[in-house]
Amino acid sequence: MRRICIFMVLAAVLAATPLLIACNAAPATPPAPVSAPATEAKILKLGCTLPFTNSLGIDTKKALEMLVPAFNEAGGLTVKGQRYNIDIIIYDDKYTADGGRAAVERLVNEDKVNYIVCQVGSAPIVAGLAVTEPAKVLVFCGGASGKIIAPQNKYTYGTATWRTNLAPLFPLLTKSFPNAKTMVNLSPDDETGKALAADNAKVATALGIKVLDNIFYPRDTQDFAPFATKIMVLNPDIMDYPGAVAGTQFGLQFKALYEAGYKGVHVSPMQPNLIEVLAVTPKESMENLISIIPSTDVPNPSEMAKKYKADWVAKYGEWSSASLNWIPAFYAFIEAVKKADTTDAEAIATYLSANGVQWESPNGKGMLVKRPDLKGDRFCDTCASLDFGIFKNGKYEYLGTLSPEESLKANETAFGGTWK
Amino acid sequence: MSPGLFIQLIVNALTIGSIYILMVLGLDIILRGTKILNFAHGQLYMLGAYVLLLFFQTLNLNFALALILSGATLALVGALSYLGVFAVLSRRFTVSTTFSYRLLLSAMASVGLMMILQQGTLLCFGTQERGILSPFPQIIDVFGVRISLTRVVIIFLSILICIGLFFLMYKTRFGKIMRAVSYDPEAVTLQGINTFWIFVSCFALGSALAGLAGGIIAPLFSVTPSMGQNIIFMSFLVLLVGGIGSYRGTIAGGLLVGLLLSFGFQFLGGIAELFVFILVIVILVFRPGGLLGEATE
Repeated sequence: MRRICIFMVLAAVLAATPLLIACNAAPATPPAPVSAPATEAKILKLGCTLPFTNSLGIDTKKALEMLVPAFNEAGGLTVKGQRYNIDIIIYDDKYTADGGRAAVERLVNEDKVNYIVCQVGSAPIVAGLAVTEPAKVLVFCGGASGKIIAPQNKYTYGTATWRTNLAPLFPLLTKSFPNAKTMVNLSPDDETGKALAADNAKVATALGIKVLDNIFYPRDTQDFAPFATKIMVLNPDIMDYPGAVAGTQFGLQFKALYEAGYKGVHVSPMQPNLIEVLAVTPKESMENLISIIPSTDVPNPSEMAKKYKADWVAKYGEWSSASLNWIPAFYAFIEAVKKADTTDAEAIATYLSANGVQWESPNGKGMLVKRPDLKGDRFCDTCASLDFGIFKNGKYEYLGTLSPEESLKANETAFGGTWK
Repeated sequence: MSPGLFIQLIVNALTIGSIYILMVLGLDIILRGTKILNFAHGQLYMLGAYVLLLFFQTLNLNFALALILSGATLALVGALSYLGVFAVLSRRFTVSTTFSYRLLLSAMASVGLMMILQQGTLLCFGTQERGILSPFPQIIDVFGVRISLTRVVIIFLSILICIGLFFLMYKTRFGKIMRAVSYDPEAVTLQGINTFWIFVSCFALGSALAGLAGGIIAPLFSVTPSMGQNIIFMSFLVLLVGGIGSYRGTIAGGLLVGLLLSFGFQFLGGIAELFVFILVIVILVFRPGGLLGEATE
């Protein structure tokens, strides 16, 4: 008898369940109130890993903490009529492969993020790919390594210009200093440094510059005197610093070379953080440095760049440009979601790989390009507008700006293939 | 090799070697005096650099004064660390506690201290690298050889500190007591001397030397919370090369490692560091006590 009762109760519950679900799913009447679930903003979780030990990571973290709330306040992201606010989760990746892998695992497995943006270093990014690619997590990141945009990656996009700013930069160098014919690369001995040193050597050789040596140093090096002594024996016309963190450590490199008597040209595809660099080295040591300069510091910066700088100063006080190279990933992600009109990571990746995307950030305009030279047929890398300057008489002089299309052409000429 | 390059390499070797010497002298004084293998020594070096940054750059004090205050502050930090950590630990030791067990426990406690100092610095100063513009930016040009005055000052100050330390250890009663304690603390106690405060002094003096090393090097490099981790490992190697318990050995070891790194990097590249490890292995095999030390239990 007791069994029959239990059976009848269970049967009643099972029979009532579809009815209850139907009632919940179709609240046709009365009309939905103003704050009904359909118009309420949902949360889109974005992950990020950064090194909390240098200005690149610290400033990019500050930038995201400034940009994301402002973006949400301005209305957030609307996809198929649904509004989304962004929630950003940032962990320290220690600029190492181990740290990066651990941080990405935490983002993907614990926080369940489907998108990662604005990562800085190649070592943590490349290590994280083993987690993000199988989990179909969309990654928009910096980092210089070619492994980031390798053909087997389906969900990863390089939105910094480290792989594509050399081809436009070096012709400018040879134009400004036609007698400079020999070069030494001074790079960190990690994924970023080795990848960029190889790329720089390739571009320099194509332009008739002889690379005398690639000298590698451990990422945490502080004493560059032995390196400077060795470089002075090689006596290059050009010093290149692929993969250097363009802050204090960059300053220590200039200082060591200056003390050793180096008087040649310096070239860097990285914008130096002048506050940090000049905290350890005299201005004279930076003479004849040709580099990318912050788009906020050109004679006529864009409205977006001006606003970014003003907001930064209002929030943090002293202006620092170190985040400018990394935040385009955030803008690229937003544009990608808007263009694909979906929050489904796989659908966004399919759209992007076939069509690419263009964006504007405080660092200028950018667009995804293909890399046929790396045997890839999807849009995966970035060509962006580039502002150049030369450090002369203790300050930067503006040299000029290239559009993303001009940068694209310079790269197609240097590396071959059609990139668009 | 040109004479200019030779001199340049020697200066590089002396600069880095002199910092190793100051570090290892401090490490050795603590080890001999208190029988503590202090893994937190690198963090004391790092703190010395931060204290100099505070006094010299933030408070705009004279460099020499800022350096003295850096050493003094670290002496205080060292004394408090001993009183707060190691003295408490040593009270738990009994007559039957073996020497190796005491050494192990003290080393573990120093690892804990290392973490506290590291995290404390991160909380106070943040993770960002900081730079100190050298108060001696001039370059000395002697017959075409360019030598940074900062490096010359570092070498000079290190020599001065070493001379002062030798005077303290060999020409004063306090130094003699410290050395006596390192050989036989029980015998010193029987002479009516309170060895507890000698232990505290040993730790304070060793910490002051680490602080001075950090303060001296700060204008040459940048100041970061991780700078202590980089130097402590090499300092232990220098200690093994020179020999535990020998001041002359420490100086010889510091100079030898400095020369090996400087000349090795010039002619062999990054592999030069490997030769320091090979040197340590060779010395441990043929002279287990180090170059000028004695092999003890």
